[in-house]
Amino acid sequence: MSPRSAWTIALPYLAFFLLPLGWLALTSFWPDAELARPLPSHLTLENHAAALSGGGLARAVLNSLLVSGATAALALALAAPAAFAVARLGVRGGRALLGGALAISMFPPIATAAPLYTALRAARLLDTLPGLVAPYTSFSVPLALWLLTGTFRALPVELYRAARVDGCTPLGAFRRVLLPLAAPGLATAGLLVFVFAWNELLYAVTFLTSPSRRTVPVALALFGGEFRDPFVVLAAASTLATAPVVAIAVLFQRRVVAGLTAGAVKG
Amino acid sequence: MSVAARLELESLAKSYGAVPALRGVSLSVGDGELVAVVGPSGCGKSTLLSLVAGLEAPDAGVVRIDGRVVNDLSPRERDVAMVFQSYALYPHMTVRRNLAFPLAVAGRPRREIAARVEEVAALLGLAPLLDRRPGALSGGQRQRVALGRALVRRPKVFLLDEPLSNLDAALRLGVRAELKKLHERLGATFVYVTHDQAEAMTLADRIAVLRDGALEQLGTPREIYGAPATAFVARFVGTPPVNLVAPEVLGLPAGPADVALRPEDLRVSRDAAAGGLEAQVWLVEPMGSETWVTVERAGARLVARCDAGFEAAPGAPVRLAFDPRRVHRFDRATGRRVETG
Repeated sequence: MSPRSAWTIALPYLAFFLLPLGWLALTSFWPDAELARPLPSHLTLENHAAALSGGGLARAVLNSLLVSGATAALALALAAPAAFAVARLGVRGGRALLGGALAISMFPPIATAAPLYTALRAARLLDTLPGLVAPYTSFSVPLALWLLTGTFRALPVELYRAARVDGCTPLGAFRRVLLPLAAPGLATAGLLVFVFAWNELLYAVTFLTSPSRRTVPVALALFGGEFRDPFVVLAAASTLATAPVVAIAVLFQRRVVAGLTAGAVKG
Repeated sequence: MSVAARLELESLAKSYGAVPALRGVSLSVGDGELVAVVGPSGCGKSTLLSLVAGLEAPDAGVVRIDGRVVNDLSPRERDVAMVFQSYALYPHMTVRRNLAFPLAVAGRPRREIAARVEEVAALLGLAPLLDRRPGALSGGQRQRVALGRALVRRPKVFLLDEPLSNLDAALRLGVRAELKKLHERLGATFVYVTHDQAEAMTLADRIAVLRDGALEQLGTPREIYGAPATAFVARFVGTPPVNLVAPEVLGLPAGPADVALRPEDLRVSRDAAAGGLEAQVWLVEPMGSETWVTVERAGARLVARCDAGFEAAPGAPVRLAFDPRRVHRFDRATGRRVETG
């Protein structure tokens, strides 16, 4: 496909996703008094200032960064060695493990909210950020496990064998050779888990009660009640809340470089 | 630069599920010897290397290196190095780090690692490539890096798994010669797995022919070629392959044994007055230095290596002659060699 025809397909597709986002961003700079006009006379940062006033939103963004970052890190730390073992070590019941993980991830979250609430209360983790990280991790490990098992299976088996003959323990071969080569898969899985945790509302609104512990979706959901006419301010809040995810996605995207394994084996 | 070691395999057996890959192979490789393990694909030769390297555990049997049983030792404790068919270079590391990897894993001092990497790079002509990644190398260069990564450790035993099969034909002959010189220079113990009988013949001190997971014959290239123990070995070595036919085809008395005659031992004459067996030309293949002539006789086809100048049209009548002492006999039922008095 020529670059030109690729763009004729990609442009409408990108527009479909980016136009509402652009409109949201534009609205966030729209002066409140001019909302009825087709175009604003000038752009303003007042809405953003208003959204950030009181510190609730900034706090929520920080909370979300902590929760989503911890979830992504924990999910990768648990899933990567497991995926390596399933893919390369010939673990007995590896298939059953993958199937079980898939079954667990199919569970509707609403069905687990009440039991998890009880469990978190017993563990004294209710209304804490770690109390959110734990269920998020348990729901995202299956996804990461699936993605990473595919990643490790795609790496040439002779690389693992070469590392073993060169003196590595199985874990050493994993750490020194396979893990660096799995970087694109790790970035992809980490990004998906991060976005899942960033967007999660049901558990966050159920398990958190203190305003200072709210995550972004909770803060945005409860935004309306606190302001007189929050439309442009809500747009500003949404824009501010989306910005970190976009920044992280762009950052990770640079790491998602394909073709890193070129030259490992013939071909 | 290597300390050669003695490698002994005793009744090694390994199955994958219900499929036996090796059924009791015993083999001993002396100090500094190069033993080629050959056989068609699926004969168990790669499994044999995995068992020696410690990448897999045998179901039965013993692997001994310098008299010490290493069955329960991990690959790192066995002190063997391996060159893989696909080279298996680490793509995220430069050539320098690839070469240094086994030493770095072993925790050698930085200065020693640098010195040994330089030494191996000089030996293999890799010095200008040290800061490149494997992706930026040609097939031949990658092959040398893979070899260098094995050499740098000065292991007791070198295992090579089809190291030339990914090179194009022109490069292969050059690297084959380099490998032979390298083995002479190092005096190290090599186990060389290949499906290419010509590689085995040219490189090896001794050849082990594997078939269906069992050792068919172990001997010097001369023994393997000149006195094959079975019909399978006779057919496997030699290009073009040996003529294995019923004795009547060669005008010999019928019996329980088939006969085999190397193509160079069969003489084809266009002179009808020459005497010998009557046959017709079926195919003429000029090879440059010689010509391969396939003839038909009594429903069988026989190949002969003739002079470069041999010319004949298909169907032309010819006469065949051979020295009966050059005929090998193999029991038709067992395939084993039958010695004739």
